[in-house]
Amino acid sequence: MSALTTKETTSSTVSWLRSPQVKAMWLTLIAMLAILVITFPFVWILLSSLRSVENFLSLDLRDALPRSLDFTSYRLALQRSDLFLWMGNSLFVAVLTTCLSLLVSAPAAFALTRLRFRGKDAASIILVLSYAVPSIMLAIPLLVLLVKMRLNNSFIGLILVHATFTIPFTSWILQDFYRSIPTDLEEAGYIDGASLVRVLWHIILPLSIPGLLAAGAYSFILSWNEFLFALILLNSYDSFTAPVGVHAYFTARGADESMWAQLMAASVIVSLPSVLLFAYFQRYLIAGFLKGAVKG
Amino acid sequence: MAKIELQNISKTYPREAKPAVQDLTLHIPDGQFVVLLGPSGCGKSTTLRMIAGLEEPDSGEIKIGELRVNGVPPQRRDTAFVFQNYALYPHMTVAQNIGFPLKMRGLSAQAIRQRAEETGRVLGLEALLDRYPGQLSGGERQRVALGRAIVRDPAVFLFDEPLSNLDAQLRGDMRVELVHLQRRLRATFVFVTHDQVEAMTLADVIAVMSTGVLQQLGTPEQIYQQPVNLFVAGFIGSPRMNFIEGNLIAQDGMTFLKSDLLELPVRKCLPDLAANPQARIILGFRPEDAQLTPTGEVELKLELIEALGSQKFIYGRTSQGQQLVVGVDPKSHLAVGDVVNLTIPPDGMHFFDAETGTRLSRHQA
Repeated sequence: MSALTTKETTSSTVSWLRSPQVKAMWLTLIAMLAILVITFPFVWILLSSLRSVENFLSLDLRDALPRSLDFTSYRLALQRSDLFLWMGNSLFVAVLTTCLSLLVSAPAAFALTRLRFRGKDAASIILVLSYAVPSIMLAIPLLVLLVKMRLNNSFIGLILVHATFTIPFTSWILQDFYRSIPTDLEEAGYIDGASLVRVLWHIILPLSIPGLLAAGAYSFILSWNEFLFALILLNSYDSFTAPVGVHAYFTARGADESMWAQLMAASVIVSLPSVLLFAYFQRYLIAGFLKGAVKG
Repeated sequence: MAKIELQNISKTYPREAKPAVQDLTLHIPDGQFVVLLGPSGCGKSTTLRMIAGLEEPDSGEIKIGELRVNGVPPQRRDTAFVFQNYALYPHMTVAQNIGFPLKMRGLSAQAIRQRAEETGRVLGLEALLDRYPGQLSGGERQRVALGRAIVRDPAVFLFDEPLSNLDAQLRGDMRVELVHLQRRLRATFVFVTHDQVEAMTLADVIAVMSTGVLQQLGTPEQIYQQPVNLFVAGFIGSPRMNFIEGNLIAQDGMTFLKSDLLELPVRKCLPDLAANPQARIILGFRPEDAQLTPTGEVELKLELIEALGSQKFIYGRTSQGQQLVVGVDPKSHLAVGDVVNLTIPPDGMHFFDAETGTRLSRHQA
């Protein structure tokens, strides 16, 4: 009798551990841990930027949380550096990169998903592989190329370089998006008397707006955040993009406490557009990723 | 209005071993309602898509009217195509959907709206012209798809299983409407379906296809009464035709069909068949052609009774184990386990070559 009871208890314990609620709890816990790890640097930057300069490097954890909101560092960062100029440059580069990427990848992705032509599979593979090549490997060849074309230290050069990795990425997102549009709609368009261009314009384009928004937002964020190529290519102070400018300005000066605080403030300001963009386009971005995950 | 001619059309899809359509020759006269009928994968949709220009044949010639259309893109073939899932443009209103073909032809916005309204009125869509496809029911979407087809007055209408997504009631209604529409427009309709009821009710002419090959072309009556081979005989009719395989044997001045499961007198059979007892043949008869008579030659023990209201079918087995289906008077009182006798009238008998499956000419009574 007692043996039986023990067995029952064990099995009920096991089944309790396996119950959906407990599973959900574990998963939530893991997810929260992951979020903590990922967001910690950002939270730290945000908190640091609001700290008062005097105790910036204090190791006392009580100083980690700002006692009062101190925007001195923000004010100093904006006053002393040319942050707005650099952000303007970044905006120019990112917007043009995004336009160029969409202009090229929207029709390219359509061709790769829908049209029949020789070498299509190879083109698809090359596109994906080109995205997989680490950018540091491309840095020197691209620099040499741009110097020869006299496009180094120019926004056009940087935009072209950014496009080398945004175009494969946006093409990849858009290919998956186009696959979700039924072929029948295109065929109906042809039957109704539309040419390929008019099918693209009247049918595919309006239906791809969510995909274009997702792809555009990604390419904007990629270009906005890009540091390595901007650092290598741009060498005049006035033409720096935001990440390079922040890096150049604050590393050129001594790393005293007030500089660190300003660096944090500048970092928050610079990452704000990405964060806002992501927040706004979140549903499209996640949908874009899910499509890739499920169907790609 | 135009006739359609397919001459020795073949098509194999890339990376497929078997051809989708094989040496198909089909002449569709102007103003006819032709149904391409067959199981899925028989090549009927491919044939339709080749007429529309959505696929190109590997060989053979397609003519619409007097014009050879091989290589002519779909937008210049003057066909209308109604898709199985309607393929309405989700970002356009009903009026814009119907008007799209006209817009592509460069009509003015006013003319487009006017024609769309007219077409909408014909199809009972007046109240829905400014709705989006997502806000419509299945039947309404179907009408919009039809509207988009008829608005431009094409030479040929092509339908790819357009009724298969509708519920039974609506499908019946739409069938009637389609027939009316075709009569009114006097246009050439080519309609693809795997549903034999649809085919029988809609068609002037049915083309039965299987494995990419045209099996039989004929009126619904011809297809039903005189199937040219076992495939057509088995595919058309529900419940399907009974088949009994055996040899014809002449004995005592009578001809018998002798199978392992049945021995059946076949009165006045074709003498040349009876002469060769080695030849394996298949006798087919439709469930509704057999008659229950006390003196019937075949004894059947009932295993299942299917009462459909207007019809009743009994499923049973002979003492040797041959399974048969017979249509009976729907008012008859029969029960599972009953034993009935049935006779197969000579004009209900169809003979097929067991090896090739081809028809051996109809039995003459």
